[in-house]
Order: sequence, then structure tokens, then C-alpha cells
Amino acid sequence: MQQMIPLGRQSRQKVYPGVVSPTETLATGFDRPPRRQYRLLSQWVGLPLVLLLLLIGWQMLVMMRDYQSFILPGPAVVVERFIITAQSGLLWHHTSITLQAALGGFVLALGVGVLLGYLLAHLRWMERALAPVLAASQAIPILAVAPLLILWFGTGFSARALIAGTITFFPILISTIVALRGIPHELREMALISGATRWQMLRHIEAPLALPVLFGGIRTGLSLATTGAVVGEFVAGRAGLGALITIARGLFDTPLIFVALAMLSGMTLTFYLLVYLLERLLVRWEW
Amino acid sequence: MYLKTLIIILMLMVLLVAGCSAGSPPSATSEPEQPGLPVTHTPVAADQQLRRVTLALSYMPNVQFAPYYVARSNGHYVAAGLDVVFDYNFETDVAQRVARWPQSQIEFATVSGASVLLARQQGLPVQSVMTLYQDFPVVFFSKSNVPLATPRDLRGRSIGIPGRFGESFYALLALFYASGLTEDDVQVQEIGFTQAQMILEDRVEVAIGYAMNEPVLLRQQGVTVNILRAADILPLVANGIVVSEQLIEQDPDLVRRFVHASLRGLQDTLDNPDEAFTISLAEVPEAELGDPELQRQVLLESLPYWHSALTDEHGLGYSDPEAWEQTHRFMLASGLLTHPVPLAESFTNEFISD
Repeated sequence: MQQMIPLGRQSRQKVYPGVVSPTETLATGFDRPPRRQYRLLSQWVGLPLVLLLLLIGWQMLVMMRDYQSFILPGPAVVVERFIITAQSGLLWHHTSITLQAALGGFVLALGVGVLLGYLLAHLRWMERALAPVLAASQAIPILAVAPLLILWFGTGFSARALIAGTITFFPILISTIVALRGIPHELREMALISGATRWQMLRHIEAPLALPVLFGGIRTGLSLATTGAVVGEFVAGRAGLGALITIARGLFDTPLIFVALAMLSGMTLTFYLLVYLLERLLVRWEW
Repeated sequence: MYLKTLIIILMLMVLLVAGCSAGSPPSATSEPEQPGLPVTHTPVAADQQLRRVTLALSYMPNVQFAPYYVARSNGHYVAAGLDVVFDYNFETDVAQRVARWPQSQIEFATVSGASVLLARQQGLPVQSVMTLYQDFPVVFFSKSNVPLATPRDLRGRSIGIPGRFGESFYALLALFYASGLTEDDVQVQEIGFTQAQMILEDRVEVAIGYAMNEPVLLRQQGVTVNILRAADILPLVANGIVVSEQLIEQDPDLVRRFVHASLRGLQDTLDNPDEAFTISLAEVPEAELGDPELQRQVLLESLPYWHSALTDEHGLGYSDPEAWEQTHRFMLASGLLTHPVPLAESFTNEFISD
């Protein structure tokens, strides 16, 4: 956004946001990025400071309103419960169940989504036939579908992975189609002129160039896979972080609910960072 | 490119192995128990041949399923030749799953009487073979400054219900059906499952919930609570064991063995609540993380509902025909049932006796 820009001996010229003539832009230059030390300061100090302020605000709210722990526990109570639950082995037990279902659903969605996305990107007639149906299916809330999947497939791993895969599938599908459609036609034509086979086109042109956009869908999908796994555990089953939340609710153990939510957040963040690192490694030309 | 491909494959393998090996889901096989984790299987000798059956419990693990936990722990199911696996699911879903036996592989389920009638209305061939709760366990509750001696005390009061579904909603409809009050005489508020909080913060004057849940929690918070039992307003059939008609037809002996073993577990629970509580904690170790004493109170509050003068006369697990008739009439009058269902096919006392 443009600011008040001193123009030397000329009178100050007020520049309205979004309404700047090209000559002024060239004369005054663009906003400079913050210096490196400020960037590091915001990264290493800003975030922890914000978190600390949130924790303080949370604790003050609990103390001022004198909330019982089953209504709103304070952060210290949650941390203590986290440690106890972790030491008992129950936290990892439930987390591993959710992790399995989330990863299983993600792998399923990735396989089906990329394959179907490739077909829809290349076969217009298939896209015209399937795209409206797929789009309409997104209007159906997963909470309505999950009990049906449990009814048909039971409460085991396969049903929960299927629920996770259902919610993960669409972002991956769309990012695959967008990624492949975004490849310049000129590159494809050059490859064809050079005698590239379908496999060579996929391996040397489509796959590398589609990766940046596809990773966006993967990041989103992996986060949603966790949500899907939890939804399956809400509906049925005895283990998993979703089941732990349900059990904790039945026990009126609100701190334990917070523990499960913290673990879910941590799991999703870890997935996000892993995919980010993988993307940095594999798509170096984009960084 | 090859190095990148190799890295991708390695990272995927690490993720998959981490997910699969970090903790396999508990199953009712011969896997050893791990301290602190839920009990998952029947302890059996290696040479013992048992028939594996599944009991689908409605909603979530809780000390209120103590009779079944005790029956498994005390070996009653094994003595009956059964390896019982517990499964957890929404109540309406367990009814559908048990109706689909043998495809669903769910032989038994805990379902309320109202849900049995609703299921039969939809053509689900399910039948109640044992009643655990002899009285409908839902209550109206309030702080001590709000009198709750009779239904008339509810006139003009704000009443919080979780929603227009489930047993709490049926209790509200039973109030209107039996007392002459209408919804215009009260202020109904749908508050989700926050009854205890809403009462504590005076956001509603009265709330509806299970006698062994929110009122116990409030008492533990030092709140004196008034109770008006829905069972005293209108006797309704409550929770019990349900099976499919096909199972009864094909293997009545299995049903009888399971019911008898469960009733032995119930008797042990009534005779020794402390031991039953300890056994329940092994099934629900999460209860030890927070306030185990609260859960003990939940169990103690449940005990009086599991026996009655009728069970003293006819035996534990008895299904009262009059209560079923009453429930049927109420549900028809309230519009919950659109047409009558055959009561004779909805429940039986055949399996509780020897």
C-alpha cells in the first residue's frame, strides 16, 4: 500500500491506496521489505510473545470469572493433565489410532485423487460427466455420511480411514486438475514435437511442473485427513483422539478434552511442516 | 531426480511405519494387556474354545456399563462359553447394526425401549431380551431455590434440554402427556449437552438429564440439587439388551447364555459396588486421569435403577409389560410413533429365567 511519500523539495503528495499513477510508482519506488533483523525478531520473538499473551489472557479469564474446571480449565490445569495423560500411555495410544486412520485416509485419497485428477485433466468428456457430481457431493456434510459408513463397514480401521479419505479427496483432486491444466501448452507441444511418449510427458513435463500446485492440495488434504479421522472416532469406536474427546465429555473431564485438542493441533501442525519441508526439498526452483 | 524419488519413498515409508507400528488398535485377540490401557479382551486359557460375540454399547465407555464389564472380568461370559468384545457407537446406529446380524457381526446391543419401538416401526427386526434400567433414569433437576416436587412446579420455568431428540426430549414430552402442561406453559431452551453449566450459571432454571450424570456433577460442586424423576411422572421403558429376531430364531441358546452371564455380572455389581468400580476403571482408564471419585458417585447413583420390587419378584433383567404398554401409548399419542407396533414382538422375558 502506498504511503505519504516525500518528494524532496516538491510538496508532499498524498497518494491514495490503490490509486497510483505509474510515473509516481517509478519515481518513488515500491515499499522496501523489512530488514532482516526485524524479520528474525518477528519470527523468534513475535510468535512466542503472542502465545504467551494468549495464555495469560486465558488464565485471567478463568480467575476473573471463577470458572470451574469442567466449564473452562486454566492453562496450568490443562498442562498438568497433559503430562499425566502422556505418562499413563493413554495419550499416545489414542494419538496413534488417529494417526493411522488419518494417514490411511490420506494415502487412499492421494491415490484416487491424483489418478482421477489426471484423467479429468486430460479427458474433457469425463470431466463434463463427473465434475458436477463431484462438486455436488461436497455439499454433503461428512457428519451425515460418517454414521452410514460405520453402518456399512463397521467401526474398525477401514471405515475410519474411508471417512478420512472422503473428506481429503476433493482438495487433492482439484489441485491435481489445476496443476496439470496450468502447464503451458507450448511445453507440451514442444515435448510432442520432440517425440515424447505419454510416459515421458508425465515424467519429465507434467509431474515436475504440477508438483508446486499439487503440494498445496496435499497440505490441505493432510490437515483434513486428521479432521476426518476424528469425525469417524466421534461417531463410533473406543480409541482415537475423537473417541478420547467423547469419553472425556462423558466423564465431565474438560481438561482432558483440551489435551486431546492440543494433541490434534500438534499432529496437524507436524503434518503441515513435514509437507512443507518435503516441498522445499523437491520443488527447489520455486523457492 | 532419482535421489528425490528415493527421498519421497523413504519419507512415505517412515510415515506409514510410524503410523502402523506406534500402536495397533486394541482388539479382542490374544494380545497381551498393557498397563494403563483399556482392557480389550477376555482372559482365556490357550486351549479354551469360546464363541466370539460383540456387544455394541451405546455411545461411549463409561462406568454405567459396569454390569457388562464385571460379567467379563469375573469370568461369567467365559463360563458361558463366550468371548465378548465391546464395541461403541451411537444408540440408533447400534440398533441398526444389531438388526443386520449376521452381516454386521453384532449379536447384542444396549438400546432403550423407545428406540426398540422406533426401530420396529421402521421394520428393523429387533427385540429386547433383558432390561437393565428398571426405572427411566432421566430427571428434571434444578438448584434448591427452584422447587421441583410436582410437575406443576415447572409451570412458567425455563427448561433446558440437549435438543429435540433422545431420552431427555422424551421425558419432556412425557411431562406434557401425563401432567396436562403444554409447551406454552414452560420456556423450552435447546442448550446442547451443557445442562450442568447452564444450571450452575443460572441460565436456565431447570434442566433435563440422566440422574447419574449432571446432578451428580453439580452435587460434587457443592450445589444442592432438587430432582423430579421422569419415572414418577410416567413410567417408561429404559435401556436393556437387544438382539435381532434372526439370532433368537437361529441360536436361542446363545441369547440365553449371554443374558444369564450379564445378569450374573449385574448381581455381582449390586453386591459389591467397590469391586465393580475397580473393574470399570480397567475398562475406562481415562476415568482415572481426572476425578475418579466423581465416577464412583456416578456408579453408586446408577445402582438403584438396576433393580426394583419387580426384579425381586421376577428376577433381574425383568421387562415390565405394563411399562412397555405405557411407553407404546405415550409414543403414539406424542406422534413419536406414527402407527402401532406389535408389542409382543418388541420384548420378551423368555431369556432371563432358566
